[in-house]
Amino acid sequence: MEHDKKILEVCNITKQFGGLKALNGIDFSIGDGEIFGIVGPNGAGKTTLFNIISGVLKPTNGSIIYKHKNITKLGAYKRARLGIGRTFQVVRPFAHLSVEENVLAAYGIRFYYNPLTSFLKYNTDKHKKNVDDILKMVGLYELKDRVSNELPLGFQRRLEIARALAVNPKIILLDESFSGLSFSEIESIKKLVVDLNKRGITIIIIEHNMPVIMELCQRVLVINYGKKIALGSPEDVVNNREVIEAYLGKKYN
Amino acid sequence: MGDYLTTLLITVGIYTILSLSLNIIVGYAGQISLGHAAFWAIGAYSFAVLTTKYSIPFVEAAFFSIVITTLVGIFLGLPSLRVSEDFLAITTIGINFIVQGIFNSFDYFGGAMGIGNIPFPTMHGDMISNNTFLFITYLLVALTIIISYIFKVSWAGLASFAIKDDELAADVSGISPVIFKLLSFAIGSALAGLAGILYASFMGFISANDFSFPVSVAILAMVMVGGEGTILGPIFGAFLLILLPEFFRPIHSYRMFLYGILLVLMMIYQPNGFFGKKGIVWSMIKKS
Repeated sequence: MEHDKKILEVCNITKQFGGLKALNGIDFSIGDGEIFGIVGPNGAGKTTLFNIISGVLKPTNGSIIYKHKNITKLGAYKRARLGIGRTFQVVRPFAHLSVEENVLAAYGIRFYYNPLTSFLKYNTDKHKKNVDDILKMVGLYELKDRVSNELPLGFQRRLEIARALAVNPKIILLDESFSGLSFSEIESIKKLVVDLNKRGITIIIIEHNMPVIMELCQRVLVINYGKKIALGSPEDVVNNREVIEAYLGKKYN
Repeated sequence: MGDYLTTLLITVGIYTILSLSLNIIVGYAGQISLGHAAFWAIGAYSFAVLTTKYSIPFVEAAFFSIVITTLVGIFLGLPSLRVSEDFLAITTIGINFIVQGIFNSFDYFGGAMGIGNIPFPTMHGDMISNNTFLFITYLLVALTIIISYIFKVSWAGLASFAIKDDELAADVSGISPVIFKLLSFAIGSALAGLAGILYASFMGFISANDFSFPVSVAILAMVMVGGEGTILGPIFGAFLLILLPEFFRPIHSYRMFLYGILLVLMMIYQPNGFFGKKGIVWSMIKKS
C-alpha cells in the first residue's frame, strides 16, 4: 500500500438482519490521505458498511479500528467528534433550519459538550464567519439564508458535504454524492473532493458512476451480496472477471 | 386589584410557565408529550409533602421540589430515547395516568382526599398579599421566558432543533440525541415543577384530579395554538385558552370541548400556530 499509515481498519465485519447476512466477513483497511471507492450492485451492503463505520449500526461481528483505536462500541456522535464525517445517499438536511444553521449545527460539536459553552449564543459573527468559509468552499455561500428543504437536490448534496466538513473530519464518507446530478455539478463536486483530499482528508466514496470512481480513487473495493469480491487499483478491479460478471455487466474501458 | 382578577392572572401566569416548559420539550427538541401535567403534579406534590409532612421551610422545600421534579423528569424522559412520535405520545399519556394514579391511591400522598394546609409564602412572619404573590408569579414567568430564550439561541438549543428535524443526521453530525433529549426533559420538567410549587402554595390544597390527562391536553393546546418552538406563541396560547372561557362565561363548562376543537382546527389551518412560520399573527407582525 502506498499509504502505509492506516487510518481506518475494517476487520472481519459481519452484519446480520434476521436471516439476511447484509455483510459477511468484510475486511480491508484505508491509508491516511487515500481516496477509496466502494462499488457493487444495489443491495450489496455498501450503505450498511457506511452505517457500521459511522456508528449508525453496530456490527454483529468484527470490529472497526480508527487511528489504532477500537471504536466498534462508540455511538455515531462520538465518532463524529473523533473526526468521522458522513453524508447520506438520500439527503437528510435539518429541514426547518437555514443552510447556515445546518452547518452551524455540526460546527457546534466544539461547544456542545462543555457546560460552559453549551449555553452560549451560537449565532455570533465569529462562528458564522468560520461556517461561511466552509459554505464558500462547497459553493453554498450565496444560499446560506435559505431554508434547507427548499434547495434543489444538487445543493442539498453540497449541504451534506458542508455539514460533514463542519465536524472537522479526518475521514469523510460520501454516500452516492454524485448521483442525480448534472454533468457540471458532478465536475464541481469531483474538484471539491480533490481539494479536500489535498487538505489531508481521507475520503471514502460509494458510487455507481464508474468514470468518477476511476478518476478519483486510488483503490476500489467491490462487494456483492455482502462479500468482498475484489480490492485493488481501479484498473485491476474493472478487469476482474468476477467484478464484470457481478456488477459491470461488460468489460469497462 | 380584585381577588377574582388576581386569582385569574395568577392562574394565567402558572399556565404560561407550564406551556413554555412543555414548549422546550415539544417545540425545541420535538419530543411529543401528552403527559406534561404529570411533571406539574410532581412539583406540586413534592412541595406539599415536604412542607406539610416534614415541615421543611418554604424556600428549601421549593428548591428540593424542583430538584426532585428535574430528576423524575429525566427518568420519565428515558422512553423518548426508545420510542418516538405516536408511540411516545401514547407512552406519555400512560405516564400521566400512572403519576396521577400513584398520587390518588397512596395514603402517603393524601390519597383521594389530597393534601391540604400547604403553606402560603410569608414575609417577616406574615403571609404576603395576593397581589405580592401575583408579582412573584410574574417574576417567575419572566425568568421562564429568559431561560426559554437563552436555551433557544444557545448551542444546546441548536442541537435540540437539529434533533427535532432529523435525529439520525444530528447523531452523525456529532449531536448526542440522548444528552440533548434528556436536557430538554430536564429543563422542561424543572420549570413545570416551579409551576407546581406556585400552584400548590397558592391553592393551599391539591388533589390528584387537578393534574389529569385533559390538563395535559390543554397545556399542549396552548403550545400548538400559539406556535411550538416560538416563545411568544406559548405565552399567547396560555393567555388565550385561560382567558377566553373566563370572559365568555357561557362556554366555560365546555372549555375542554373548545380546546379540542381549537386543536383540531389549528392542525388543519395553522399547523405552526398563530406565531409560527406562516401563522396569521406572525405574518401580521412581520408586515407592520
